[in-house]
Amino acid sequence: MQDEVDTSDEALARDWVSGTDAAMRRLWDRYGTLVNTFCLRAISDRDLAADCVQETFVSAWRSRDRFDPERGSLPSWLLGIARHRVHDAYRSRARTPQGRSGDTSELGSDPSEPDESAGLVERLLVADALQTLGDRPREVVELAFYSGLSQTEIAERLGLPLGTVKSDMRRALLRLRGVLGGAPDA
Amino acid sequence: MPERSDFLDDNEMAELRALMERGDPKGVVWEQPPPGMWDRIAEAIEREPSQDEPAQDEPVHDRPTGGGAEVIPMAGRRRNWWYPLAAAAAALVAVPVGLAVWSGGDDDDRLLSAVELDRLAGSGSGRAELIEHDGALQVRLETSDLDPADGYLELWLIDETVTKLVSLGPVRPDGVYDVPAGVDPAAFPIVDVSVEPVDGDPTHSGESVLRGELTF
Repeated sequence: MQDEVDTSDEALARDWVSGTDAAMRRLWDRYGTLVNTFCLRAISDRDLAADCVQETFVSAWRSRDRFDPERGSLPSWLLGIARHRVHDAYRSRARTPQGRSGDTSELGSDPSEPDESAGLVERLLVADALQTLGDRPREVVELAFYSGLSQTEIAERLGLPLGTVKSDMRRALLRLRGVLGGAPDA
Repeated sequence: MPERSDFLDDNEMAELRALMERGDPKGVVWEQPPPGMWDRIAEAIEREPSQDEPAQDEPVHDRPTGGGAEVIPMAGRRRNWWYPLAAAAAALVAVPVGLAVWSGGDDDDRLLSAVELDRLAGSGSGRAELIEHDGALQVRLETSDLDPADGYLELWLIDETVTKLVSLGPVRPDGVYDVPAGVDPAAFPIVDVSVEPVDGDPTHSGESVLRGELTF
């Protein structure tokens, strides 16, 4: 079942480049929550955040020919667009003359600060990648990362065959590389 | 007995650890989008121009100036368009430019045109948008890294023959400029940012630093 998830992310990226309408709906189904979560964390006004989500997907549609899988993953490309839309919203809100000029504190921390939203993007990409690997591989990786257990110790702790732990760790490494790095999954 | 080589080796473990550290996922709570949001997106996409729209040629400006202040003509070179429409093919084909109109999230703001400005001299970059705001026209200018030297930066709208100019005044932090009521932006589509000396002379110094053309 987890291999189906891998295949469907790759298939989605391929179909996305060819720009079918069905791919747009699949993009939403797969990454709508990711983008929505990002926009809500980056800009606390819920209405503005909702606009950002919508504008992100419309922008993605417009620039779908520009997505190059060699240069990055589809979710990281999408969140890159979302960052721009959040920045636009922040900027235009700061200019609104109706009694709020300069007061953008209700938007939360300034998303135009590169560190702020870049860190958030990476957190969400990692969380999404681990989640789609499945509960067990996620638990394996979390034990390795947060508790510092060796793969042998993890296998014992979870009562799993060692081979399962090894393959979970390897798939996690490949998945995270693909999502965060430049290269797509092998 | 499992092969030692099947384990993640030390380098791979270090890499996995580094990837996890870049984005510690603990505590991430997912927020599902509200129902109905997809329908709004689908509707907005329906209104988009289709991929089959013909490309518009980019105008080339290499005519010398005449009359008034010396204004440097714009070289014809490929530009990055901020609001790309669907391209006929990726990368090497010039991106077609046209009217990008949508109802944005702002109250009563409509984007009529936008352009990423070319740098003509020195450092810096900028982008200009023509906005209809509550029925009036505004240019919104965003710039970075511009150096006014000992003078100040001024924003202009210029006609296509690069001879007639409308000053929108000194470049301001809020980046919003009202287009005077009698000025038709289609007649003055070139957006120009210049460095002006503080000499009391209202004419264009001839030292443009950024320029781009809005299309309609």
